[in-house]
Amino acid sequence: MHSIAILGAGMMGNVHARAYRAMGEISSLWIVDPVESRAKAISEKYGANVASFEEVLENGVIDIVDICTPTFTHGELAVRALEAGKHVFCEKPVALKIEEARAMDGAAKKSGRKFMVGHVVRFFPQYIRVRELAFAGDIGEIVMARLYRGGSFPSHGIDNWFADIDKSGGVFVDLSIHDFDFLRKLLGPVKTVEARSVALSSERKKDSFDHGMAILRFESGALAHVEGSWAEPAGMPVNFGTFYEFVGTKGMITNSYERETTLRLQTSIDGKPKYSQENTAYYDPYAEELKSFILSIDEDREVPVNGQEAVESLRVALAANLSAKLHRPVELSEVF
Amino acid sequence: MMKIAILGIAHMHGYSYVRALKRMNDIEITGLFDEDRSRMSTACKELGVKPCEHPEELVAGSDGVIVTSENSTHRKFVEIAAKAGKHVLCEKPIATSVEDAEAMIEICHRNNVKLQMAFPVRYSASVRKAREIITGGLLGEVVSLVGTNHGRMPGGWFTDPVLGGGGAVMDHTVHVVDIVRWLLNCEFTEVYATYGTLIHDIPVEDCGLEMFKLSTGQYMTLDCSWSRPKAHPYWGDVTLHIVGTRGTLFLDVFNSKIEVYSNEKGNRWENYGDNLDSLMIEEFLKVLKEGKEPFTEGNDGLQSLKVVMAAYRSFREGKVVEV
Repeated sequence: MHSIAILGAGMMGNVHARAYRAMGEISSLWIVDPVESRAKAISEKYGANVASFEEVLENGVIDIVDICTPTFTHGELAVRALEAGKHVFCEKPVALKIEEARAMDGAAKKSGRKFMVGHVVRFFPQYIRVRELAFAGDIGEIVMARLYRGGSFPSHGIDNWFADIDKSGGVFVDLSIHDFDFLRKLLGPVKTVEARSVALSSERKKDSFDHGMAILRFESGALAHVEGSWAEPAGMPVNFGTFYEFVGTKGMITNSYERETTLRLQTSIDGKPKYSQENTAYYDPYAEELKSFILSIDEDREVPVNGQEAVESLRVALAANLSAKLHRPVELSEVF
Repeated sequence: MMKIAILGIAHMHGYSYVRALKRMNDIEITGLFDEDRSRMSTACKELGVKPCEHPEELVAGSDGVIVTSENSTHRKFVEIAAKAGKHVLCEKPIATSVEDAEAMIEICHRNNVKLQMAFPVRYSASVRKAREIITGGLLGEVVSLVGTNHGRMPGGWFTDPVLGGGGAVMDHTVHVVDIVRWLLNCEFTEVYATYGTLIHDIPVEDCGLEMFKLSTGQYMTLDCSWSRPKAHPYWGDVTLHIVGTRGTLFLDVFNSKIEVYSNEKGNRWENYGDNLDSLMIEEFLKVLKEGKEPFTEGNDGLQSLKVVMAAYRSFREGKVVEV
């Protein structure tokens, strides 16, 4: 049994609170958020105690800190929690800078506590299948990949922090990092990144990267194209989707959010038309991810996504940002 | 009655063009010439067309000429047509060198002959509609584009570095480049390309990814790979994801298809959409009858070939190069 403090009562804080409650192996749940009303909402919905970060650090009963705050705050929170002897789960991206991510990983090693980063795509079943099929050799050796991940701009961030590239890192660091991480795990180290990214001008935004295209060449010679997008208009009936295509020497695997729909609803109640499409399941990738973290603590074994791996995936995303800034291909060795 | 000659039947599109012609009224296919006699004889039997030994004689007795030979021999046959004063429809890519392409345009111009490029994708109703959507401002300002032109590995002369002039980059860059030039009324100014022979044991590249800069300011990527496996139920695709400040558009030109599951013949997707080859041939007939400028012309072939050549140069130099 564990006592867990969630930092950040935004979207991911809610997802994690729900997942912990569904597990039923939690003795107590705590929520920390500077906005009282947000903390209170989670507290009431999931039976969590509201606390400050200082109180969490001082409370010896709390053994796990789960960081669901905006990216630019991850580093300090993680290091302080680790130094206080907590196991730390941190949402992706681990941080905005390599030095900061390395400091977090270093603090974890020094403390001897578990430190895991939330590259949750590894726990999504349609991506797990790809790795299983690749391992089984059904399509030979995978040599080429195309991945898309995108939707409308994440306007739910507190103080609109996603819109500030100095706080979110833009679309490559915040969103495409999922695909960079998955590809790295599947195809090995990246060698070269050629990427471009654009900001969709808006009064509410600083100079962000809202749509990005990255061409990756791996050390194995494999190629990949990664598209990340926050460019879909707000208020669309389908506001997020992913696509992938993996080409091997003996075949290919492909999937699109457009075809993986188990429910499609069209209704009009009181003159308000509504359309939704869903792929509903009992399996919750976020819960599986958090379970694997808790299991790593219980059995004292390596976490599925450690700090070093998160650093490597961040390097690819930062290489994409650098290439997009310099308008030239960037060797991964330039980002360290 | 319009009389059409076929010079070279190396490209499978030639078969499609002949079949399109045969479905039209008042058309006579005067004959087919190919330097490869066995290929000529096979094609003539299959298509019901007369084989001819002398391309000049064949052209002299025709009103227009269609060239579907290997990429590297387009110039030779276009020159035969131009010298005889006959309008010509040439398979893509226009040639395997910019020098050849410029010579082809020049000789056609000098002989007052129209040179139409076989870019059938531009004749698609969906591509036309996409242009209306863009020019109508529904996407706001276009800021980036992501394209694909996937296909199966075609084999044969396509994988011969001399006859084909390259591999997937040469074969599958030009269609999407051509439609984007038309959609945005732009030219391609910079290219970065990376490619490799990753799937098949062939002497040319089968997979490639390209990054372009357009004269209108946008960046665009293109996947030109021969990466559809034999087991795939369809030959490939031409797609374009157009991202604008106010909206996005996904164009999937060949997506009008039904799924067929046959115990006898396996699984396949069959296209029921407009026959783009027919639409392009109809344009060629208008060129012949009215002497109009072709919708897709020699210069379009030249500009897209320049992009291909820059892509190869970029990979050799490992950097972004100017077109």
